[in-house]
Amino acid sequence: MANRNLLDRDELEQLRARLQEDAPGEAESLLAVAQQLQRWQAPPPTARDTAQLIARLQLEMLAAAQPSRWQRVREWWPLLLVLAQLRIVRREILAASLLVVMLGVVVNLTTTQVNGLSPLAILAPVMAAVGVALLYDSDMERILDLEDSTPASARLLLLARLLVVFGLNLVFSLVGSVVLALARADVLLWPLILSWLVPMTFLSAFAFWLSVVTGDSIAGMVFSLLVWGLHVTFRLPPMVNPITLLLSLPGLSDPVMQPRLLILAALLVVMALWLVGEPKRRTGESL
Amino acid sequence: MRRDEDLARGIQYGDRNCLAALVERHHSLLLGFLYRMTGGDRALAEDLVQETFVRVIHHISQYEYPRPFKAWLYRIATNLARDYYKQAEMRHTISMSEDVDAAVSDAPEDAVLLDIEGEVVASAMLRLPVPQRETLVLRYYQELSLAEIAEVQGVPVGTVKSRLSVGLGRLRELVLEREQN
Repeated sequence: MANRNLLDRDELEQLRARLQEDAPGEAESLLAVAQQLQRWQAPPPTARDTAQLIARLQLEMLAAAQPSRWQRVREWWPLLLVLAQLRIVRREILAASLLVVMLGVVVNLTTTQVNGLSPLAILAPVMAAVGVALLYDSDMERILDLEDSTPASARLLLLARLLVVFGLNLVFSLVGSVVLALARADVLLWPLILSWLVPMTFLSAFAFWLSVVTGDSIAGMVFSLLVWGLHVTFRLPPMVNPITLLLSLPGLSDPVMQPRLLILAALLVVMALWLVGEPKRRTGESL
Repeated sequence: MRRDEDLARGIQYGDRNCLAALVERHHSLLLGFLYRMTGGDRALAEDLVQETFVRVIHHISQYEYPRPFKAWLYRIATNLARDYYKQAEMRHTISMSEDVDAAVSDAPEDAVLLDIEGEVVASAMLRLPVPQRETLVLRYYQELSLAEIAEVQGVPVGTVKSRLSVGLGRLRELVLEREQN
């Protein structure tokens, strides 16, 4: 084998050391062929080649930095805002909602109706209203004051949290309804959804509005639950005290009232959000 | 001097100067690697170098700082070289069924334009199985450590050592054979 020395002494020692590491038993016998490898040299690029490559790649990098359509959707700020609230909203409330809806489904598998309403229709609005009511109290107002310094306003943050809590309750209840409709032949999906959807929306809006008006989340939660409890209890028996009957909001689960209740719910939310951002009110309480 | 890993992170943040610095640092070495992996086809090696860096740009979010950037870069280049081999083999197979002469002229070996001194080594290297050639080039030309090669090839260090030992032994035989001829 031709063995013209291509390496200086130090390089040769380095090569020997590398061979000792790679093939300890054969290092010396492989030294000659390892030296031979140096004979095959690659032509180096010129400085101009490198400069041209850099210029092309920088253009490529610029083009790659343009976000794709999917990236634009993922980085759409309202979506980011809503997703960010997922970390803030208390997980135990969402877990409780899930548990209650699951309980409603389980009870509904064996019982058709309680006082004219399915168990799922009774339980679904309860947890949505509780979760939404707990979104706001006077402590939260101070936090929102701090958050006012962020690009998203306090109203927007609260609206995003409202959407998160209500949205998740909506999803839990929808899944529960689908499970029920699949499990029981006598349960129709759409009427079942309508039986809880409007009461849930109205009660959540009502609880939210009450929390903002009173500055006390417990008040919003308790009063909305009281209304719902009265409604469920007294919706069928005709002989009842007129005041109790009024407090039980008799039209709450009446299909005829559904459009009006949805409009009222929207108005309550708008009014509550307006009150949250109202400067005099916040300044007055902070001082 | 900034480390490769820091420059890669700079690219993740959109810093084009970091890209320039990395390309300047690795262009020559990467070209040498791909030149040898493509059997001495300079133009093809240049294309593959560019494609390697384009992939770096598009997949930079997958680079996990502070893992060694060099190993990540060579893994991309190695995958591109392997893709090239697969395509070359496919072309070779198709051509063989139609015209044997055309197939021979398509083979990467025919593109080798070497100095006379390196011709023996180059042709011997080209006759080694791809994993062994890859390992020898990464070790004796690119001077990667055994651990880095293992990361590039996704195999244990023991396999790298075995490929080096067997590869060098086989190369010695091939060079001798060639010189005798």
